[in-house]
Amino acid sequence: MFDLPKNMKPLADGDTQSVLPDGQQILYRDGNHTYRRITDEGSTPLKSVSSLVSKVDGGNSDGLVEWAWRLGTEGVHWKEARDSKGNLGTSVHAALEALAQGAIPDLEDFDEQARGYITAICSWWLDDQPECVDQEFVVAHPTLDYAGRVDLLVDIKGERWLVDLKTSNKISAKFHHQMGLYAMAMDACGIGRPDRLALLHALPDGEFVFLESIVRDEHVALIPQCVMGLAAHNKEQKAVEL
Amino acid sequence: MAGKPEGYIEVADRIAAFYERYPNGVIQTTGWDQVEVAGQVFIVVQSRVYREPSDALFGVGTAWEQYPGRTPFTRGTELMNCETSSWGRALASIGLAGRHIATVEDLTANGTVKPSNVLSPAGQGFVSWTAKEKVPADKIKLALGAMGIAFGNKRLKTIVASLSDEQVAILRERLSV
Repeated sequence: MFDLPKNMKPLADGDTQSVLPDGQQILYRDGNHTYRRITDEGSTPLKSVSSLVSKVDGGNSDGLVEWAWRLGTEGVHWKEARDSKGNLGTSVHAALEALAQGAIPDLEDFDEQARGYITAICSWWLDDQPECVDQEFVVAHPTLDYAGRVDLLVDIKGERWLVDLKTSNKISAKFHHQMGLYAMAMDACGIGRPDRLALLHALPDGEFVFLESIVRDEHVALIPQCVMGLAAHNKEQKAVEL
Repeated sequence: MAGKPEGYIEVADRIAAFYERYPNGVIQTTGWDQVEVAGQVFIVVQSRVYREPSDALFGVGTAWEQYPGRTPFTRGTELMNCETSSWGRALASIGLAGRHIATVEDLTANGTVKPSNVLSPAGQGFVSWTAKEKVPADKIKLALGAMGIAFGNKRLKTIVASLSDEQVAILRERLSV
């Protein structure tokens, strides 16, 4: 049932080139988190899952402006806060990757700031005893032209779960949409659809929430078209204004 | 045992030796009290050791333990530790000791023995349980990680010795699931 991406060739700087079961060749650039489909004629860019859901669910930038303003009042530059959060996410993902490869992350090896989150994922791993099927692999939808990188595919008590790790303060609707888009792409590119989808929400105090996403294809199928339609509309609008 | 001075005999071993030598013998805790010395609170326990019920020259042991305990190993079990110390001293008074009369707890408190090498009874029980149940080391490390405890390159015994009895109980519970 499951046919995982083959020949995931590691390239320089964390880039990878994967061959999906349906023959698609996807180049992932780690530096800017972009995806391209490689064909005999050349390569075409693909939308990333996170950019698609941000356009639909997070189109309103007021929240970001408010966040940056609030940090400013606390004397923190928003870029510093963003980078620090990014580093934290990378550390916690690295710890999950270690667990998936059968190694136990030692808190001593991580920054104080990341330890609570790592405690949380260790706790989940101990409680649910997942068996890793694959991790950090690329999926791409052959006709809707989007791609993404999946955190973890595991078996828990006989069911196959697609798991995405989150270290954000809140879980928003867009994360569930993200899961739906991953599952749809996995199905469409021949990997196979996981039985269930879940967000692993790690919290700074060492607690975790394993939150099942019950999003279905019909909830997310229109997202790529909407985004593309919106982009085309914006382009036309700009042309008219000029 | 690592961390013990040469010639030291554990109280548990002294008790076993006592009953082997004196099958009709009795170890009795005769009383305990709480005293304050120089502004510090101590628990005091007195014990007697009878080689036989009619032993007129019974051995006597007195020990005290600061309350609350100063280390994670003694906190919450001050009275029990103190009782063990007093038994150890009572046994020593009838000749059942090594070259040292002080109990390991006394030595820990005065710095002769490094606490990192000393397991509380709960810690000892845990280490024995993991060995008996053949709990994989990685699973123990994972459970420590799940409790927010770093393990580094330390030996299991050293890590367990640094935990409170409550933490040891939680660790065991998490591993039992």
